[in-house]
Amino acid sequence: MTSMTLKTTLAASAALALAAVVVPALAADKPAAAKAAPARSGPATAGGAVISDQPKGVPNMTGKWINATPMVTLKTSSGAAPPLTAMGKTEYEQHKKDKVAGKDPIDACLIQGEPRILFTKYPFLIMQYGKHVDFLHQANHTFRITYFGEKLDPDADPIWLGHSTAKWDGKTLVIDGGNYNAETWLDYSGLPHGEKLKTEERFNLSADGATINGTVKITDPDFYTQPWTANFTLKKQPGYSLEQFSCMADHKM
Amino acid sequence: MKTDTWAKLAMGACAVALMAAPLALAQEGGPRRGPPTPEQQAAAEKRNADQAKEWNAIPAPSDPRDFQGVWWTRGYDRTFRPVTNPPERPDEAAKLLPLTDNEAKSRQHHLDMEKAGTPIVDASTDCYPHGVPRVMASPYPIQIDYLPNEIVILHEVAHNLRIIHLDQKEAPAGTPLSYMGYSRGHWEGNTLVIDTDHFNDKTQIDEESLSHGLKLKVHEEITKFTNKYGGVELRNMITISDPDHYTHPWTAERLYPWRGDIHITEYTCEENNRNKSVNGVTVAK
Repeated sequence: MTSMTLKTTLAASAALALAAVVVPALAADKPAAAKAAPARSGPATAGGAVISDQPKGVPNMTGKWINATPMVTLKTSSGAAPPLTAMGKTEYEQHKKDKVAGKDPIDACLIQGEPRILFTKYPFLIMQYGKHVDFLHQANHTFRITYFGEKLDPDADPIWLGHSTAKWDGKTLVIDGGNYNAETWLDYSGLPHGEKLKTEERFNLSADGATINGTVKITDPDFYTQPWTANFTLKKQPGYSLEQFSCMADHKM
Repeated sequence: MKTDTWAKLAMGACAVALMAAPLALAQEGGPRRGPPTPEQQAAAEKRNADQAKEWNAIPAPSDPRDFQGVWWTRGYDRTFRPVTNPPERPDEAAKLLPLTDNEAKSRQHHLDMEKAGTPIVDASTDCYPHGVPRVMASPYPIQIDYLPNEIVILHEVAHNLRIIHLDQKEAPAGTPLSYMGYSRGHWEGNTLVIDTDHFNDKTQIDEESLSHGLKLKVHEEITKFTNKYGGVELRNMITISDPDHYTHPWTAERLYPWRGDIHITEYTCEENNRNKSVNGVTVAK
């Protein structure tokens, strides 16, 4: 079942919806002076993310970031090639051919999965709250919302960005991901994975708040002989505004 | 698709059906809408109270300027109509749309093509951004996030994204025309006022039939309030101006109840788009 089927289903209910418009039904709820609220003094919540509901002492990573070392081909932290299994090697070679043939999933503007989207050259926002942390990427306006303390549901259907859960390990933000579909590539070069993929991302904010040193651990026994870890460095981009990005319109990827 | 998305859809369809019930029942006896029966009224009151309780079990932020979190419009309303006082029934309100002659013809053409089973496509059909105000009428939930000097609206539908710049009065020189336009916001009291322009002409005003051109300007005023059932909602008063399509600016309303009970989920329009356009029309396959 795809989202488009949902779209179709919704379209089919249009006639019903036309008879059910909300304005009259809700008019009774309208307060007499909805727009006449008095001018408000004091700090505006619009000026900065509210982080007061977060655990004491955790760093605030809210802001605009860019991967300072985007990688076409992921390497392990020691600079080695990832430890592909035989099946992994076969799949990787196929992806390389697909790439040349214009069959990289992102050629069809499909959502880049994790961790590929962390390694693009485009900036992204991290928005950190007490209950969730949100990643909002300029690349194809893709966002991932990760809630703290939620358990990954092993029965959940696999999806493009997977399901993820956040936690604090001291001052390190840790995001565990799973339930990925097998349609995405781990990187631009075509490193493969299957539905057994698990990721563990770790984000460490520097003392001056300008850098995040991160790692992502990849575990997928079908495609890699052992778990391996890639490093990334994010640099804060104050003053940058995310550009509107329509992959379908521009094919800017 | 995830199971919880089905649950959402089921809830949404249920809400639509429930809201439609008094109208549909009343219409069985004739074209005029009659007042709901006492039983229908009681059922509606109970439903609204139950929903307010469920949706606000995890409460909305108490600060009147803090909209952070998930909101979800009720039902599925495919078009905008002018707000009237007192409220008109939808088909009557639609007659008050200040359409230019060309827009009236265009609207009728859209309606005719849809009736013929070949709806005219808009940008969203092919997974381009929905545009504004169209995306604000989507029957999918939204999440609002705050950054310093920016408010971000994440739309579940087709992972649309709105960025509202709080530190700018006008779009910077050289701002390109785009699907979602360029939005600037400021606070007037506890109302978030958003002005958006620099649109391209590839989107529609609504899903159903209303068009716009490059002169489109959208003015929104979003205020948080508590309804009589204790549920928190956002009210968005949306004023649409485009002299090439509308003889004067007109204002529509959308309400977005707080939904502390749900998360927004992944929506990949680009995957298996069975609505994809062919020669400018779409036939759901």
